[in-house]
Amino acid sequence: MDGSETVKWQIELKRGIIEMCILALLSRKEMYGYEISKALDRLSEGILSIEEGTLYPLLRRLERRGYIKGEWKIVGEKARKYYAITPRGLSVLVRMRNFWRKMVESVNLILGEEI
Amino acid sequence: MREEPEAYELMEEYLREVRTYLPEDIADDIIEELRTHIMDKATEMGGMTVRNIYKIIRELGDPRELAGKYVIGSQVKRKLTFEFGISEDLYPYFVKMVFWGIIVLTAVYSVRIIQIVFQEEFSLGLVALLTLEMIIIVFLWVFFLYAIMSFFSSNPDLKEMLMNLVKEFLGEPKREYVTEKIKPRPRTPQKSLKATLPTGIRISEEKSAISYKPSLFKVISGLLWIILAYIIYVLTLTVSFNWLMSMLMALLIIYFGSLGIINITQYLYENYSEKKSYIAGPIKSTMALIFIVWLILANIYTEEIQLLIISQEEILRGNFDLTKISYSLVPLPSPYIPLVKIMAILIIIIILTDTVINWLKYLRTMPKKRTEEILLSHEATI
Repeated sequence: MDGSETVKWQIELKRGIIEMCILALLSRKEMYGYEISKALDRLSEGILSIEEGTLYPLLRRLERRGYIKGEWKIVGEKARKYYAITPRGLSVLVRMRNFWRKMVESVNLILGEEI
Repeated sequence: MREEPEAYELMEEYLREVRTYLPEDIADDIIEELRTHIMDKATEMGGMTVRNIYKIIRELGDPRELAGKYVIGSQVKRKLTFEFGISEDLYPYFVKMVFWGIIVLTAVYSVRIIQIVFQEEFSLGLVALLTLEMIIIVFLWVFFLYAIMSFFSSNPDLKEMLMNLVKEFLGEPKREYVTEKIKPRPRTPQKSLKATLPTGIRISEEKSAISYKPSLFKVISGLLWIILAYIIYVLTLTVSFNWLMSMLMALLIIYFGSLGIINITQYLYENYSEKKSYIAGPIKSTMALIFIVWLILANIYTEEIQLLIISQEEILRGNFDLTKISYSLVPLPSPYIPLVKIMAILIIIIILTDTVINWLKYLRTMPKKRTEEILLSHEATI
């Protein structure tokens, strides 16, 4: 696997994880798009940073699937679209989280060391 | 907090562009959200200035691409639209298909032309007609592909289908340049991802950096161009051309010699810096502009064009010494004069088109970082 393939692999791997992380962030509190982008970047130390041009359409897709719900709210004289997780999104997140934990354990076993 | 009225204009212009590609029923909501995002981010960056807005909308990406991401996979039905212009992800496939189309057409026509050249009754007119036919077909091929790719680029759903289909057959295209988007972000050393394979080979972060290795073909082609320039030089010493043909020979020597030097320099630069040189392509096509004056003169003084007849006897005997082969110069037969005039005009158009396309391609593939540097140095206003 050369350099460009490694980057491609990282992008593909991140794609699914980011959806789970967005749901996890929204399960704690409701957030608006830019706030989600910054939280992902800050909490993952840049590893899970997402381009804004990808984040907003992704939020739209999650909303369409019924995992999250967007609502326009005025906070401090500014109107922003706040997203909150739905009961359906919450049950999906639980399943994702369980699978993720099992997967990390298995992968660590194969790699033979902790990442 | 700085505020520039032009920044608002720029933002609204971008949002208007995005809106044109969005289905009407969801457009308002998306546009409003994007507007809030742009304004939030600009405020955080120091205010609504043109430069800040420019950076933000560059990060959001091409309006059509951005709108396409909202539409892909949705149940929203869109009307089929058409607009000239190929999206960035389809562009490498377009270049690939143009390249292979031209290779196949050139091969087919070369065989036909060689057949005619080695016939006893050699007809220059037929060769010229075939060349003209080939040029027209190449043009039609490029135009057809451009129109088809533009159609798919205008319709994100169809584009997604096409991309999946093409990837099945041709695989992922190689990226010619690295944008900030796909560069791995720097991480703190203690958190650096390292994995050890069972064999003990370590994959470090540094290894994942993308580097460019130029092909040795550039050096070989460079040397071939220089050899060709030399052959033409020897030819000019042996044959007494008239003023128009001497001018052509001088231009060919300059052109081929420079091509050779550029190719070799390009290889050395790319090999040393491990980066692809973007400027070489436009320079090469710009160099072809030197032929335009000659082509205009050739169009006016077409009867001055001379045909070089090379005696096939020596070559068939295996003697390739240019100084010993007998040549003769004949004027262009008058029936072919109108044809050559048309060809001269066509070649002028091709050279100009090629130069413009190459510069546009250069500006399009110019890495983001360099665009920003230029922007900063010139205090550009958009």
